[in-house]
Amino acid sequence: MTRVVLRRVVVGGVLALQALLIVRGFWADRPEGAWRMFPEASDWRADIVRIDADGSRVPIDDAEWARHVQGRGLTYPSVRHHADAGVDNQLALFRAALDWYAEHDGAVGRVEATVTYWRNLRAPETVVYRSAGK
Amino acid sequence: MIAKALDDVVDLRALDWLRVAVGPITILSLWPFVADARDGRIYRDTFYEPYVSWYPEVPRALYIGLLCVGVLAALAMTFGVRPRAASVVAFVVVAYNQLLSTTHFHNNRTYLLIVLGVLAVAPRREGPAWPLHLLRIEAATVYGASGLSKLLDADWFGGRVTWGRVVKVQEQVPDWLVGTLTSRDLHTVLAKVIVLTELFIAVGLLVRRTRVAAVVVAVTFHLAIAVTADVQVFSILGICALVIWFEPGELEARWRRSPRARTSRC
Repeated sequence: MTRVVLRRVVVGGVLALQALLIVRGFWADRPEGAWRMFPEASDWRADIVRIDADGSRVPIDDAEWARHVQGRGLTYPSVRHHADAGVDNQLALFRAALDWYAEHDGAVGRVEATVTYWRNLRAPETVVYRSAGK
Repeated sequence: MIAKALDDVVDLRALDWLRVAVGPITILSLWPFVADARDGRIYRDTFYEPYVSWYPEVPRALYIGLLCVGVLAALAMTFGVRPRAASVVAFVVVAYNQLLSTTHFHNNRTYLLIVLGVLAVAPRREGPAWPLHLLRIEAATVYGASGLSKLLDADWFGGRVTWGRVVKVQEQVPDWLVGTLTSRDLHTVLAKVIVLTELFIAVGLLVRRTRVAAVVVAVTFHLAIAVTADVQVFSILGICALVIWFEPGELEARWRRSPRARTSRC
């Protein structure tokens, strides 16, 4: 009897979780488990600078960036390329990568990125992200 | 009635067949991590992002050891060496690795994780039907949710997304074909065909009378995706997982009734 109840709880739990993830996928930046495949044809690129303690802005090139950040479409930010699983997903990952970079590059200050994206090849839009300070 | 269907004892050999195929797919899925480890790199040497701060991270050597155990377990699944225990081990390793970082997430890995999870709990040959039904619902959901999200997205259903994807690679398309493949009219129709195909597969698999047609469409669909996009193990897993829609006993009975079987008995 306990086994039968446990089975039903497992099946019900899995299906409820799956339904929740699908609904969440309609607004979440990163829709894990929502099965959104090939959601967009969007592109993006970014110019990244380090803002030192004295306020000076030092550009960070792709080679330097790639020492700390690789994969998931993040390796060469200066080059316009496809947004992995949509712009919102890509930029959410990029913001996390920006914080990671600022924390691991051995320098003091913040890192700032000017991001241009083309959502489904429409006119470009620009946003600026800044890492947490160190 | 649904609850009773979960408890009915049924033939689960289709899951055993799937287990054999999923072994190599698991190895393919783990291989990028193994290859990195062979080159002296693991996930945390560059950017990674844990889902939760308290998720346990093991020492480097143990992590690499876990990947190796995952590969060995996948081999054991395929070669039938304690296949159910091997499925549990493969599931644990793949799940641990997937949940280490948001950068490890891919739809194909999540689908593999679900399949491994079901294989880990499913008895061999015969047992309660719930693992089979659960995997069938999940498999249909993959197509259904994907189709639904595209149906509700004006850019997708209107053809802008498929058009944009082709426009971005038009340099690789022969000159004589560029005009046709980048035509907005073509994509206005094509997008609807893709969405309806996904939705048909989802519903068609669940309805017994349309199941064979849905399987044929799904195989064609996965082959088309494999040719036109990099989806890691998704296509091969999608095709192999279709085995769960067949009932081994029914297939055997049909085989026994077929003229070829009678000839081979002679």
